[in-house]
Amino acid sequence: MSESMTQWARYCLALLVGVMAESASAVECDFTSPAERALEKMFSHKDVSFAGTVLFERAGNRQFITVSWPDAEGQGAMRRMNASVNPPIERWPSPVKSPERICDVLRMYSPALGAERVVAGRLTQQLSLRPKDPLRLAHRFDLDAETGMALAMATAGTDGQVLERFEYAHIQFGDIATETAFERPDETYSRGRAVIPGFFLMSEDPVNGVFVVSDGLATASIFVEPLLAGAPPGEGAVIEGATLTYTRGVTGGEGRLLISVLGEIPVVTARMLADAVRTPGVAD
Amino acid sequence: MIGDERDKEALSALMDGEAQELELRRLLSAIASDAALRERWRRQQQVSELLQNRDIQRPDIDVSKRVAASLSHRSTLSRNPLWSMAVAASVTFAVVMGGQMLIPSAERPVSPLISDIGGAVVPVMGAQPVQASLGAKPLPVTNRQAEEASSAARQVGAAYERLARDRYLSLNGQHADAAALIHPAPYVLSLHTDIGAPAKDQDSQ
Repeated sequence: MSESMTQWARYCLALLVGVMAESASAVECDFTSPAERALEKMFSHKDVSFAGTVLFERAGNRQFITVSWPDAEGQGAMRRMNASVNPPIERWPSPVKSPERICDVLRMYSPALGAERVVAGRLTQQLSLRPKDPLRLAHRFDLDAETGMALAMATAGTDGQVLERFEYAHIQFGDIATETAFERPDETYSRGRAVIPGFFLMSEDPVNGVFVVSDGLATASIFVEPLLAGAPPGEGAVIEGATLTYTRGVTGGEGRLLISVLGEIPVVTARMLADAVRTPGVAD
Repeated sequence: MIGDERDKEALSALMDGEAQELELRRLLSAIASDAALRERWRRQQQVSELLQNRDIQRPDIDVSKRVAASLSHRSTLSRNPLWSMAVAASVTFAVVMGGQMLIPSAERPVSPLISDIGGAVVPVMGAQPVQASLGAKPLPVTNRQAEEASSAARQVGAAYERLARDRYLSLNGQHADAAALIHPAPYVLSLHTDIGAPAKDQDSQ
């Protein structure tokens, strides 16, 4: 990395730290209703160890995976049972646990409890998260009555069509995982500045043109790179399950950029995120 | 104009959490196709954030000149065969449009015909149907230009869709790593990159 790029990275890091330090605030909401408490419990489920088998479906595909949490390092493990014979163990990170994050979710989604049903031999209660604006997808969970963990989840588009879903076929809960049981990774919910309604910067790497935003539940990644010479401006999008990929080519006096937005978001959100990218000539 | 006012009122209702479902659906449709409305919504949200004393010093995702300079020095991710199609489409498009300003294909209206009163089929006894001119002949060249421009725009749109599919395959792993920290079931995101079925075109959502 060149000296100028290193300096620029340091500058961006300092700015990011400053912005995020300012944005840190005390918890701004109370979990008073049963639905809000169910949401809080769902985001806290990682305190209970578990192992199970999950069926995942999206875009006409289905897979069985085995899942367990935690391992000695506090991470989760999974194996894709339809991918190969004796599939290898893969690791997945523990999600962040933050009351502030739950407040962000409640700010943009309306929780509501629904009917009870049995999933993987356990009693669950339905929790739906309905977006308060069109910038988000809707989600429906079936939460384990005892632990609060989501044993099933479905994500629906703005037209109500289910885009992807998963459901446990079997699950076994173990002991309460304590802080001393493993080396917990340094997980923080770093909420940066607001970019579009309800979405905050989670991380930014301007040198490499990578930005991540979230509303506490949905996440979108924005990748910015030079647009190849001769390529015309335009836009296009594809959706795979709940994951939208949107590309936009920008040309003109303000520069030539290719903006790619990936996320579990509607098209309008991706467009707004692309709109929010300040192009050279406008920024300075 | 009436529509604009209605959109503004709907936005205000949305910001106040008072928008009705039907109004939300209509607003969604309007926002998806109206960049100005999206920008208005964004700014309105910034004001709201400010009133709530949250941090919005630099609400944009900043790609300044210095960043662009660093971007230009690294190898672009977009060097793949898809771009050759996009470039080819751009050449076609440039030729057809003759230097007209290009705007994103989805927002570019289909060029209207100069004359669409090309007449009607008039039945005549003992004869084959003929087309009456009614004194105003259609302009076939213009029509062809409009059709070619529309076709070129579709090609550009298709190239960007292919590019989006390529970006999904190449970048979704990176996105999944970031999203896993937020998702209630992080392991699900790992599966996204493994299911390699051709992505469906995004028509509407």
